[in-house]
Amino acid sequence: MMVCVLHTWETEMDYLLQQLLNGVTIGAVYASLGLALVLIYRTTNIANFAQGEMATFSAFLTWQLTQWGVPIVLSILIVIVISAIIGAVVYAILVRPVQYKDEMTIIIVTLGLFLAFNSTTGAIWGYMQKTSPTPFPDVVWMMGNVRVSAELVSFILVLVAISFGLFLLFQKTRLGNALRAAASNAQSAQLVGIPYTKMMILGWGMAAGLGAVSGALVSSRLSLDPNMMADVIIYGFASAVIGGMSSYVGVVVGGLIVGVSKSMTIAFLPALGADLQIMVPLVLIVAVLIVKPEGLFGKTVAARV
Amino acid sequence: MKVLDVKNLEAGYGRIKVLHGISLSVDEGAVSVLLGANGAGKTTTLRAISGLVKSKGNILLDGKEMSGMRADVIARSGVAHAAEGRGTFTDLTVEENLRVGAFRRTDKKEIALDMEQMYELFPRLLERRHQKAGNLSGGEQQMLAVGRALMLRPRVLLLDEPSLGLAPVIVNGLFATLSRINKELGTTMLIVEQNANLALEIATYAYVLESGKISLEGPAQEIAAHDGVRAAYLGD
Repeated sequence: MMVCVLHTWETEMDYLLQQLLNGVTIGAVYASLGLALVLIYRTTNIANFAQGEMATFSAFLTWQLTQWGVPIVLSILIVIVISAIIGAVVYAILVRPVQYKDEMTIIIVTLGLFLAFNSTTGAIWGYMQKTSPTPFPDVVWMMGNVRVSAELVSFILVLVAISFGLFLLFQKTRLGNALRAAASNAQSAQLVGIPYTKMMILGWGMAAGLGAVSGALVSSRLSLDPNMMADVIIYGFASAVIGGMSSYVGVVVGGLIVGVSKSMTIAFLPALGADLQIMVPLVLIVAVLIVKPEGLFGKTVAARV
Repeated sequence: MKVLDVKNLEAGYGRIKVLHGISLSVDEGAVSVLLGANGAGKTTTLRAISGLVKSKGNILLDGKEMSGMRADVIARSGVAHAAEGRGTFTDLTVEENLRVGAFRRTDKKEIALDMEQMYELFPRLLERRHQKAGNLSGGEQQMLAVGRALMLRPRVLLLDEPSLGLAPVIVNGLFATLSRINKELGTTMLIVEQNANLALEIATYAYVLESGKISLEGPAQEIAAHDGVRAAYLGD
């Protein structure tokens, strides 16, 4: 479909700004899942490929609760808690036995989890799309000719609150220090008295709870279906890798970069079409990793003997 | 009074048995040293005591049985273990390493005082307090490992080869500090060392471990004067 664009400088600028804001909104979605990925990576050193599917499952749980008449905000809060418990149980039963195996084994297990959560969601709720209620007000403000939605503002507030909360938890509290220590060196953590397995269970639980938030954001933007996270997880990983995999600020910045670059691609390189858009974050990842292998906000540690 | 009392300790890895029933103890405020060649089972002894390796036998801390408990429970009971290869938290800063060392404690004021004391004992750590532990030199990492272990306010401090890989000058300084820690803080220690000369100087009692068995034990001065020990471990 051809889009008719009036070629005056002002409308061009408005269009650019609008695409920028759209990009920020989807970037916030990617960052929300990216935060969960970073959280689990920082606490357990595992890249959890099932994070997106777990979030989808959470989004369907929320939908189910609202169908039963529970108000949407309350549903989301309940599901965050349920998801955290599911995440903890999944770690304790399925991931813990292979925690000390090689990375390939862990990757296979999380891919298995991906399929398990995806098909469980489909089996319970079916593959028909569902419209999900949104917790955010349906308000749009006009700034000149640019539309700023309450959804966008809410996304950003949620994201800032989560990353600030995580920053405080990990940098300023005794528990956060213990979580970081457990991820840094499992054996030494036990030698200072940190209950290692509990920390891992906590990490998976918190990440799954965060995933539920991400699921709520995605389903409020799009319609619910079991595969709705398929590309979000890829863009989420892209955000995390660009940000440096271990930085909460980094993944938010990474998410915004990926989101904006994606919306700009849609706007200015329509020839790529819907299928080839995904190349953009991949090219970005490669570019960032070539220039700064540790990611934009990652830290290099020189190990000396 | 015995702080640590180990009886008939047997341990190994899979089918390979390393320790064949060893007994040793450390008195309150004393320093015991465990000498032995490579592969004699020194490190395994410490790992068994701190719960990193499964073992049979009795491990009594202040008379309480620790055998069979999880490593983190043993640590919270008061056994600090500065492991071989140091095992600092490389992506935490020096200060965070020390703070995490005090994980089992909740006395915030005392923890802050102890941190100051660590910086006084190891001034190099003060200079580097905001650097990641992974960026420290080998000697600094060893200081940090000892400092972190002390932050636990241990009933007994297990030190595995504190001199390993360090320049002689740094080793001398480290042992002087260890001796000071023992005298001023009264910290009970069990030290595993290849550098027998230095270890025997600060120790009160010594054990010689050979192929997983204690072959000789006695007051440190007597062991230092023992002909066989002099030939085997003191380079005479």
